[in-house]
Amino acid sequence: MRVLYRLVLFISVTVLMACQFSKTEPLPYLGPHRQVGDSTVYYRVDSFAFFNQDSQLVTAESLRGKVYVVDFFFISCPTICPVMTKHMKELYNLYKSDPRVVLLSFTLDPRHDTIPRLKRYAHKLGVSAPKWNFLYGKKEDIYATAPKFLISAAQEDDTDPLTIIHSGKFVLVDGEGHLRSYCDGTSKEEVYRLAEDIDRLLDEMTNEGHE
Amino acid sequence: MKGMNNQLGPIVLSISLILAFFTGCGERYPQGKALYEAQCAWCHMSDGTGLEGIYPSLVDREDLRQQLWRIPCAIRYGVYDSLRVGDDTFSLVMMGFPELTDAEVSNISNYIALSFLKLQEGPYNERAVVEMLKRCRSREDTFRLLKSKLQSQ
Repeated sequence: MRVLYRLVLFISVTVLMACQFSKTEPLPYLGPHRQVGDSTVYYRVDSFAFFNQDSQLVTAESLRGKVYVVDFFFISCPTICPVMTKHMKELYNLYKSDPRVVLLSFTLDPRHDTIPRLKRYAHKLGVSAPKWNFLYGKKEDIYATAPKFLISAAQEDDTDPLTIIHSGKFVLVDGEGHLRSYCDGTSKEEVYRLAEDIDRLLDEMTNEGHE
Repeated sequence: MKGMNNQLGPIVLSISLILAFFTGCGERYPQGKALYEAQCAWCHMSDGTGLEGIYPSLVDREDLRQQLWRIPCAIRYGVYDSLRVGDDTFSLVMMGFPELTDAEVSNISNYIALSFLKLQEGPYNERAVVEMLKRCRSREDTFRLLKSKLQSQ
């Protein structure tokens, strides 16, 4: 019994210390980096420009200084998208009053998900831009943008949205366009873990601002 | 130490009884649950809550309790009309699952009735479902019409 007690104590102290440790450690920079002289150049999402449901242009530039979460979806998606949208809505509610956090959902089916349809969808879901942007653009541009966020997406038959296959990842991007964290958007636990990473990025921004 | 063990006995026993009770309840329609998870949960979610404004929740739906036949009808033939639940209107089409047998439709419906409509007993069986599906036959014409309309688009 005494051994068990000690074991439990040891484990709890270790876990507590691990938590403390992970809180102070900065989030990693994802994607390839280059060494230029003494400094490391981290991968960043440099350029994209799409229209949101209000026909406003959203670009990589316009999101500088914002922390944003990205996913790729389409309205008639019969599998993973509904639960991803449900989890994105939880992030929407969590960060409703913090203008530093923005959500982007790119449609993989612009043929059917037109701007008015995305607008209706957002309205029914009870969400709006500029917090949550449903992004529309030329199909080839959207499919070329997904890999920039290290998200895979493809469509076998152009006319049939049911042949779209895509990753259910949520990717977290910092104020400079660096990819800093990601999670499986279909898992509630993972999405809440991502929310902790959002908080860490926001702390990072606040600290940098004070220096 | 020995006294503590004696006290633990009944606690462990009651916890396992409670656990057995709850897991037992959830598994009254194991096939219904498995099919629900595989086919329905994508949109209506594992907990039946749906997606606000987009896919209707199934939890505590008084309209479904009053019109139990609508569940097997929706599973077999889909829902092609826009649907009003309370103040919300749902306009996305639900595809039917014509490949599911009467018994499977009955099991899924019972799982929904027990887990989400909070009924004490499953109101469906194969025979009842066959009868209920006859009631939605009249809607099949609308369904065919809408389907051909969708395909011609």
